[in-house]
Amino acid sequence: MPKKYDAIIIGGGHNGLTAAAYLARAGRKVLVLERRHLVGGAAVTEELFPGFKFSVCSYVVSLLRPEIIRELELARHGLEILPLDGTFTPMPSGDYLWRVNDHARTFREISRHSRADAEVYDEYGRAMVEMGRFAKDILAMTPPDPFSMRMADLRALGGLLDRFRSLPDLDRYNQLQLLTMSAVDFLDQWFETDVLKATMAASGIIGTFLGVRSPGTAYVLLHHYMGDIDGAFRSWGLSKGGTGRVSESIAASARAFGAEIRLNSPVKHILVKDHEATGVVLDNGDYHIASAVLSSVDPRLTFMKMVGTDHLPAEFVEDISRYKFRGSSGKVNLALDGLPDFTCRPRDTPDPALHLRGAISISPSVDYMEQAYDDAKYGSFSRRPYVDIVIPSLTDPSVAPPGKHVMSCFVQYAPYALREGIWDEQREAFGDAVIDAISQYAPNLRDRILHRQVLTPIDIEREFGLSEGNIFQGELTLEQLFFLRPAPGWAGYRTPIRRLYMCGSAAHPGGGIMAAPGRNAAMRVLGDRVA
Amino acid sequence: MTDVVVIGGGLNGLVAATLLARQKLQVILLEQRPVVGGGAASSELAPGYRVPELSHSLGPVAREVIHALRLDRAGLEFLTPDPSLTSFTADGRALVFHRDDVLTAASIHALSTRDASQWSEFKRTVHRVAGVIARLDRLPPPGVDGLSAREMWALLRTGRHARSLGRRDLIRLTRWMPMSIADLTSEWFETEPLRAAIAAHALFGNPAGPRSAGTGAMFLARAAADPVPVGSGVTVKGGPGALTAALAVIANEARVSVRSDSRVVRILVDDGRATGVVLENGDQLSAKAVIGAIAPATVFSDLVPAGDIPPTFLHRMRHIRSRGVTAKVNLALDSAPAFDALAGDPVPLRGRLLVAPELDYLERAFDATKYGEISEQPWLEISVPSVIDPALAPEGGHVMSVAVHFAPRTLRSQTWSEAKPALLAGVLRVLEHAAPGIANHIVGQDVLTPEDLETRWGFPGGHIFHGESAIDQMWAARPLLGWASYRTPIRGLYVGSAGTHPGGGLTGLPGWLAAETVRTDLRKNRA
Repeated sequence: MPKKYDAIIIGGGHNGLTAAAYLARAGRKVLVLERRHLVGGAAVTEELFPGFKFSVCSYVVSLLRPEIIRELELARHGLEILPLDGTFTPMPSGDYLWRVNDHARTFREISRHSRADAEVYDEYGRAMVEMGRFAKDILAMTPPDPFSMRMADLRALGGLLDRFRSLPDLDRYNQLQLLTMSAVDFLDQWFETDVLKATMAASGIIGTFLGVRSPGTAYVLLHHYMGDIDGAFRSWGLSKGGTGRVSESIAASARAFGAEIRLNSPVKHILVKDHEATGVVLDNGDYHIASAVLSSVDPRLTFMKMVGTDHLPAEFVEDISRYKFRGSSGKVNLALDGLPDFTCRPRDTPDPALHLRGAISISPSVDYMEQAYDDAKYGSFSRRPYVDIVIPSLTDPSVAPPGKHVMSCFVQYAPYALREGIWDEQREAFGDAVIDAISQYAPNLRDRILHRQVLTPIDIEREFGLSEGNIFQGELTLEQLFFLRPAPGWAGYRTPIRRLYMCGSAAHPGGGIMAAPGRNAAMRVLGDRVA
Repeated sequence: MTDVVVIGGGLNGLVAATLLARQKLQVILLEQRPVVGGGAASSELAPGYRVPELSHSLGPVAREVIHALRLDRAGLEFLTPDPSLTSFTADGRALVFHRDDVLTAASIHALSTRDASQWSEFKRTVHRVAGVIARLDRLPPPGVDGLSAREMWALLRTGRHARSLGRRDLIRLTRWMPMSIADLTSEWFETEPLRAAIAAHALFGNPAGPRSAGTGAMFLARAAADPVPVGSGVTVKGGPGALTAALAVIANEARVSVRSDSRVVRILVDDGRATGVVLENGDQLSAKAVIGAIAPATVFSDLVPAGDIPPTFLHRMRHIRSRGVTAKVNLALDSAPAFDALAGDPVPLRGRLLVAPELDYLERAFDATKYGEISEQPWLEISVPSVIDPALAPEGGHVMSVAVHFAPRTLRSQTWSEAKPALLAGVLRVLEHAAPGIANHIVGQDVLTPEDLETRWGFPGGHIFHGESAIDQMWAARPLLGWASYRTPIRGLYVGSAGTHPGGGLTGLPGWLAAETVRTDLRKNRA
């Protein structure tokens, strides 16, 4: 008879680990089962090439909930966030756009393109921070179920409506627009500089199969204003030692609270008896029993594969099979023997890397972004893709050998379903398109490349267990958010199977290294007194 | 001093003016064009050929409006074509939507057995789900700062109705709104022409492609007025112009003073309250209430002095998104058009015809809009009204009304007068492909660009609905959040047109609801 756990967590990504840490902290006996040889899920650091440490998938930290950092004492367990300051956008004209946290400098830089835009930029920032405050509370809450028609749920929803109504008139107006408009339409109301709008709008499309002109992309603009590291709004950061360090610190915290974490332990089935989860079976036939099972993997894997449709109500199966993944992004990781030279970079700065320390965005115009999306709509990768580049070795030299660099290129669009051909045959062509897109602004990049890793959606699915390669475990579109995520009626981390909970990015509030789903789910399990 | 001045003699203006006059109020209706009718007008294309100038079908006009105006006794003959729509597939077949579900299913069956079996279930579901919106369409939208007892009561009743839908339908209503129509139709059907026909109906008039989020809401809004998922194409004998002509007669009978060729240049505002209007010829008319039955954005940007409008309100009015994408090609033909896919079958010509065979066809047509270009392969909704209403054309001849998408109001590299021939050529190319030889039968033609819609009809941005049907511009946010009750920051000035709830599409509901508000205010002396 195997020993019985209070809770088993499937998947050792940052959310699974967070749930484990909170349950262990509450005195529960917890087991985390991770398929791979390391913890982290999509938040991992791997030494792909000797001496070069890559944040293979997720590469920046911003939305990690401060209360989680505090409560799990992540700093003590090795988490250190280094500031990632600025966004540098090279332009085909040989000019560039540069925005940093330094207010005066940003004002000067934007003024070079448009005085009016520079002036409105601050006002925009203030408005967004106000909006962000409203949205943050929604991120932190467990969604009510309006379809239950229970008083408590309706009241929770009514409460939200009252909050909305109590906002100042201007905020209400902005909030409504943010929820429904396209990023470009929204930004058009504020700014006139095309490259500025293109770069800002880019944040609206990350991880979704939408273009910058698609309605519904505006609200993601808020994310950039919600990330608060050490209380400073708007800053994005790099985890020292790579993104994997975030997961490792949560794992260390969980272990310190007594949780057990087993690597190389892929789960095959969730044991269900009388509509109740009782444990899990591993690929190797081992099984473990527990009072509660929490799945941090996506709903397709959890329900269609591990639970099996036989155990589930037909309506729920229908909802889960309709849940949209549609991965649209890829990643190119490069090991470089020196910095690429962006030719438009101003030559009069003493520090050649000054502009490259933050993000480098290949988003020269709104049309460029939109055309990249058009390619993907008809089933091919973008011939001229949007690329969000970070060179973490400039901020954190520990990730590359001296004088050398790692370069992380997040790419859109790479649709999971290609209309012609298969990814295994197009991987390198896709990688070449990315290098070409960057080389247009940094011609010597190609000569600097020592090694290259290209991740297509199919690779992300295979390697990291994310269905269809969606980095958020399901699209962050309105019909899959809040009380609809992952399925209507089941947004509160519970599932139709008693004692089975969802605790990953497919649960509210969704993807990104927030860890909020993991924490919220753990609280739900504790509140339900099932473990 | 008169009681009410109504600016704009389109469907909504006529409805509002007549309803108020029936309340024994003295009403003057001012129309800038030589004829009333607005978007519902007929024109003579060639001697003996009369064509629906803009819209070739009605919302249809809401039952409440027909009843309130006693339109059914005005000698009008509403025509509901059967079949309502025939869509041409990419491989040259015809998908026919009949009034009878069994016949429609039989037509779909040729493409997909599965889709055929889903059709009537889909239609019933859409009817049920859109029913909630249909109820909201008949109520003034609530404000955001507290509800009056009356608003609360009406909303509660709608809420109870929504609840009676049941859990599954409520979930559908919530999910469908923000979704794209491509995703929505793909959840039900596998056949491209079927998906595309539903999508085209949802997109009509708006700068959106089938994959644009929020087109689900556009679909539901249309289905609330007309539950047939591809539209029923209701019209009236003599064309939509005959409807507004009949309305003008009814208005006269109700003692509305209808004045055409009367362009209003200014609304008089005194101490925050509207006191009348000034006409182009200098005449002044004073009134207790003024209703702008034209685009709300036009009322505030053109007619009210900026100094009299709260700046934030004006700023937002100017930012209403109103990017017109619809053009119109009207043709006079010396014989019945012969579409290959119909193989000589005359029946489908009774209803509308659709050239939008696939979702990708619609999407590609839309792509051009984003870059300020006319679609190379536009999608076309065609009506040949002379088939069921032979009086519209001389013996043997026909008129063809073609609604063209996408033709963006703002072209990037040329003006509309330069682009007009290219627009016509593109339409004829698509038509010629569907009905080879049709060009040889054209005896008269008229092309209306979005620029024409803006300058001649006064639609801001050339948008046929006075503003896009995006979620943030609907219901309580149409025309603006907090100002959806037909009232405006200027006392005594009201708006009631497609630019207000429940939006465009020739239902008459905005005019009806605006008239109700004005009537209430005048009675309570609040106007």
